[in-house]
Amino acid sequence: MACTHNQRLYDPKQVNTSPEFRVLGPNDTPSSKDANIAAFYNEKREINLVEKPKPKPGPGQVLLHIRATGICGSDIHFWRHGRIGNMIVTDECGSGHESAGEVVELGEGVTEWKVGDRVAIEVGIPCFQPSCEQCRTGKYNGCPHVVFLSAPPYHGTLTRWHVHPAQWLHRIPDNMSYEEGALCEPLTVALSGLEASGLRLGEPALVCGAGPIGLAALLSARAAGAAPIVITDLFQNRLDTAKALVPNVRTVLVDPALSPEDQAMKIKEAVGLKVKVALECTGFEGSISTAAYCIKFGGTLMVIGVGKSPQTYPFMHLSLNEITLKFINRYVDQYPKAIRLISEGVIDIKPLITHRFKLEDAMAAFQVAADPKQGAIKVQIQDLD
Amino acid sequence: MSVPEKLAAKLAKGGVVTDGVWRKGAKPNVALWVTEDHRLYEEEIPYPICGPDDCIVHVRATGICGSEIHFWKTGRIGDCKVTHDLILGHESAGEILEVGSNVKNVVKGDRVSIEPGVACWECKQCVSGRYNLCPTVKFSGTPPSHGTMSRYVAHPARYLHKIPDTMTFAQGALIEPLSVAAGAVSRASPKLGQPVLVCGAGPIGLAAALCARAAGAHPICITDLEESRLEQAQLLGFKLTLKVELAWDRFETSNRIRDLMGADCVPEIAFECTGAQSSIASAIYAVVDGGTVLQVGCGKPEIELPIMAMSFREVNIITSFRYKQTWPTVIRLLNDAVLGEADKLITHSFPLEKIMDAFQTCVTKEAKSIKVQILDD
Repeated sequence: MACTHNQRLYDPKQVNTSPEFRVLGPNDTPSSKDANIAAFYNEKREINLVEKPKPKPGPGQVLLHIRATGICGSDIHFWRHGRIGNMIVTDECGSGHESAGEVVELGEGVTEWKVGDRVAIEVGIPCFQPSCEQCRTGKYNGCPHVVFLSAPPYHGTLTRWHVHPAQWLHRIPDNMSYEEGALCEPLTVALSGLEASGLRLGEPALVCGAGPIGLAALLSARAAGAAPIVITDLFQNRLDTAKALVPNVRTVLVDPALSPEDQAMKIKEAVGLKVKVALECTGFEGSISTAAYCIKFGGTLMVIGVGKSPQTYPFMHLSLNEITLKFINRYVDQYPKAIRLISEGVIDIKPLITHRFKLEDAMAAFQVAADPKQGAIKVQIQDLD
Repeated sequence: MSVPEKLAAKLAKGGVVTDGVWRKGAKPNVALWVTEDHRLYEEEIPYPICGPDDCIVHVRATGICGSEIHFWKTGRIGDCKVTHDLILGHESAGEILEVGSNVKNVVKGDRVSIEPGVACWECKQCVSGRYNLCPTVKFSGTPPSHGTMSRYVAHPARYLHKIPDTMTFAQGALIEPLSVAAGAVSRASPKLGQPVLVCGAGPIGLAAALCARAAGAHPICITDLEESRLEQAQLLGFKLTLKVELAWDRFETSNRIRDLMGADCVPEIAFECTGAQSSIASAIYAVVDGGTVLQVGCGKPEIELPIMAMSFREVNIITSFRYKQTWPTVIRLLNDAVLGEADKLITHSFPLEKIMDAFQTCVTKEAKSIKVQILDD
């Protein structure tokens, strides 16, 4: 695979081999209150606070002060399991891809931003070369040469100072906080799934999973006029949050002992009919199979969640019912819409944030995010001073 | 008592069967008729006969539609002409008093909304699911078929949809116009976060805007010639409205629409709910390249279109006619409050005894009516 310009520009070795790069132990402190600290995971399944050099923006780039970053399940997974699909952790890698920040310095040739501008950050940087079919045909999320920051080996945005292509930033209006700006990324995932699912006004929907993506999908489905909506999860507190967000959603606590068909019966009882679309936000084989039994003839099983591979599904049931099994990978051109929906009050996504930590306390944040007993939904790291 | 021959003949012309016996209900079966020569009159008709597949419904609420005003004042819509005295009415809800011997989906006492277009279920359109296009459809209140503006009416059970106890008959009678809007909206499927334009702030325009908003379309811009109609749109929460001046050409109108919506929000769908040539042209120019004009509004049978402007930018027109399979969905949306305050579309209500006043209100500009309904306890 040809090494593209972006792969060179964001080569993690520049950081990892820099003399200014150091892993901070539990008794270490950052060199200053403006030090460029970040949360890095490595091939030894560790997560550490690190200090790295403050970058300078090159041509077409801007330097950002990252103000808020959400922790994603994938960040936890890379830390604890070292891989997702064929993305494998082999070295120190910066976490974080759900960020919003402030422009503090402009690189050469940047005219569309000024210092002080507030932005949400789109971290997937495609090649946009004419020879790339995906980029050429408007499916840049499928670019095989994409540099997706925080997917190994590329360092993510959970840091204080970050350099980013000027063109992959999205302005957030004054009525939107940095917190909400950092929630754009998970929302774009949900919006991506919603759009691909073809869910329409008045159609019944099932949302599997009430984690951050499931809840974002619930809010999106509700905003798109789906009715009735039923949501499932293993944990009652997550269902309670769903109900607080969308009062007339039906909730079903999943019983892991039930077969998918029997679980589907309980879901159908709760909502009274078969659904047109299932927005599957767990990636878990059992949940996907359950969803299949809840969908009416000709409906769609939209798999947004990511899980183990390979998986086994009720083939004949899907076949006989002409159910479409569909997948999305990240998002394409969803940020402007996500920003508009949040800033105009069409979707209120702020309640998803359950825990807030300062950047210096990022390690504590990761511990909370990774521990189901803490009941966290979206943990955010904020550097607002 | 027997049914007078003249009345029996009038009823038969519109598909209402009598057997000579004048049956009576608890109250007189008053009906509202329109004539070929533009007169409205009330005349009592016998209590209906219940066929094996029918139910007798006590009609508790009926809305008046612009098409009824049009049939009254001009006697035709396109090729559909009033050629015999016709009982009007197609936006109704009521209570079931009797069920036919074959009926299984409803029982006496059920509260229902009436779907007025009775299709044949044998033709190609019906069998493929597009029963709204059935060439032999009997549509209540549209020539030649008598409608639901009588106190009691017989209607095929298959076209009666139960409404929840939490829904009023007035709301049940709103399902039909909301279905027109929902049907149109489903033909263009606005998406969450998509900018759309609604041309016309009459009942159908407002209903289309409610449906588009419920689907998450944003921003939504509504246009109209009348300030008072835009005020009603504002009351429903639509802040982005534009009063169109007849003096503006299509370029001025479309530019003003695009300016109002903002450079990042060029409308991708226009729900054209006026049927007026000038508005259709403006909508074509206002929508984004590759966009869609969804033609709901009915107007002149023939108009001129800027076809090359459409072609250069791949702008499509999709038409929509009535509705199919919308009742269960719209009932659900209305009941779950997904459509917002759709009730606000009802501006005037009259008892059945005052049905002529109701019609007068529709044609009195100062009344500023949107949906006028007739109610009967």
